[in-house]
Amino acid sequence: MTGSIEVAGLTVRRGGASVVHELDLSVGHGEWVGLIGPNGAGKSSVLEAISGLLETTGVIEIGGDRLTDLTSAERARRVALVPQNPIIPPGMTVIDYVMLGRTPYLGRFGAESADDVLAANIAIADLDLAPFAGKPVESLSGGERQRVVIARALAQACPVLLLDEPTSALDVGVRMEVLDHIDAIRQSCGLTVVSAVHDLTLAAQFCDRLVMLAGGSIVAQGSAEGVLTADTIRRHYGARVRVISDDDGVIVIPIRSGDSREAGGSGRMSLHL
Amino acid sequence: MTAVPNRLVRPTRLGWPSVTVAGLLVIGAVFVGALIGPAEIGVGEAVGEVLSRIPGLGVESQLTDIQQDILWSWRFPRVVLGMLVGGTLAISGAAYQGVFRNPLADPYLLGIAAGAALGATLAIVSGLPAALLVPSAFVGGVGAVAATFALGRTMGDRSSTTLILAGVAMASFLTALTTFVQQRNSETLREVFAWILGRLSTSGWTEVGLLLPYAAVSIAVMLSHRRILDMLSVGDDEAASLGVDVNRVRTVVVLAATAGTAAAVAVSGLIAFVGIIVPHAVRLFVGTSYRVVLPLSLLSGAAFLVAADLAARGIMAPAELPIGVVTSFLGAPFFVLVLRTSRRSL
Repeated sequence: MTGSIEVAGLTVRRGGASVVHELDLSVGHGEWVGLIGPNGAGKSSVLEAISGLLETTGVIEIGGDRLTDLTSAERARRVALVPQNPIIPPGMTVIDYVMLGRTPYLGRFGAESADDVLAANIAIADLDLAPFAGKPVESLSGGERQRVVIARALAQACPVLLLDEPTSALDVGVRMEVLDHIDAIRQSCGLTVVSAVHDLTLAAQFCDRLVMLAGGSIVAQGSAEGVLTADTIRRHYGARVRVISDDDGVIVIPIRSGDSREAGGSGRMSLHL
Repeated sequence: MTAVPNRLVRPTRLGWPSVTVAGLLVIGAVFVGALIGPAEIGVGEAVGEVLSRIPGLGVESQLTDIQQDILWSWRFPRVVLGMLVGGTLAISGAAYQGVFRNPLADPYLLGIAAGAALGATLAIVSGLPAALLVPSAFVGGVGAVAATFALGRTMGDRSSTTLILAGVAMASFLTALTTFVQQRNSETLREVFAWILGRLSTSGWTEVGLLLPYAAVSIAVMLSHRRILDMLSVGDDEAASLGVDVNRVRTVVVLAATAGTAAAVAVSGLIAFVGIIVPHAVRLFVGTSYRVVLPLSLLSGAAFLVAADLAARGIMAPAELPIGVVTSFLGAPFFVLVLRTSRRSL
């Protein structure tokens, strides 16, 4: 089964308003595509639509099959989603949590087989979580917890992995560690990855291709060098940035605007009467 | 990557030690419940009596005819009824907590208690034959939950929060109706309150026979969904992304818990807090996985209600306290404890 994704004419409505309009997107098998864009651009809605959680119009195909033609279990065997704010059930151990990823493979009443237990243990080992397998997830650090959530998605053994801001709550060291893990697994297992990313530098470092959304539509797509220009970012994010492109890749540095720098940086308080 | 680990860690499963402890609690409660009462019957005599009923063993009963009658027509039916009611209420409470991801949920949340109380009150004030009291309470309880679901649908979404809010509204409305009917028929208040406060007094096996089929089916359905309840614990959206048909599971489990609880309430009256006390006590010992919590709640609930009934019979003997008073007396402080704990971890 391949992990190619074809999206055509996707429209998502939420609360009566259209948050994604007539979006077309094509992701090749094994590719890592980063969805970037300002808050409210529609990144999470696109990911939730591809994972089948939203009522949408348009066509979404995974591995050549229409999403709407698949049962919920078949869909969950093709697309795994790591949500932005995963719910960690109180008291649930790492092994029990990762076993949830085997849900689409279980029998009628959720009885697991030896293969399911093995798959969960492999996912735990792949993310270096074996020492924590019997511990409650909530007792782990933020980075370990995020790796547990990703291990659950890997235990799902899907060709497509969707990540919604997977590292937004982590410090830069843990971010790099988690994303490196994902990239290593993607390359060894041939996973297709689509991730919503706020950190533009990290998006440029890890993704094969970037798709910038604004107001529910694609406004730019292509290589990091092509998409991440100071002008594009100023236009859609309303922020001044300096973009450096060198041997380490594309690096985006935010620059404080002139007015606020003067007001806050002078060390003097001015009073307007 | 994808290296096979040397040692596999297995997911939580029901272990023999916890089943043995819960089973011993049930057996202990049954023995004590059957032996304690105004007429003295010894352990050996009771065991001999039970064994004498098994063909082929050749054991002779040491009990008189009256003692045999007390044991088989009064004490055993009462103990078995207590086990069935307690087990059903406790496992239903645990199932509701799983379905609604709310540590304070129990079967009364969607209006069962208020509906059953209205059904029973209407049956009593309208002078229906006593045999129709149980069916009226059952229809009232199930009808209230059906009305709650219908009301929830009209609110536009199918989330558990909407359903709980609909249940609160429905329970308030039905309680107001019940109070109105009671006020207009004050001469039957004593009888109505005797039912509302809960009791396990029974003569013969009629109530057990009425409850058993509902309890058996309801318990079987809930137990078969115990692993799926763990999947719901990550929330509706995540569970759906894992391939769980959340609405189907919620509907099936709520229907099963509702039918079992309505049948239990119909034969025993409103016995509160069992569905909260027992599952939370179980969690303190074995963790939060529903694959363990559900079966152990069933066994522990059975033992708990038989013990509570013993307290109801013994505290003011020879007078009998309503068992609902005993469970509420224990449950109210426990409820506060759960509330305090739930702010931290549940």
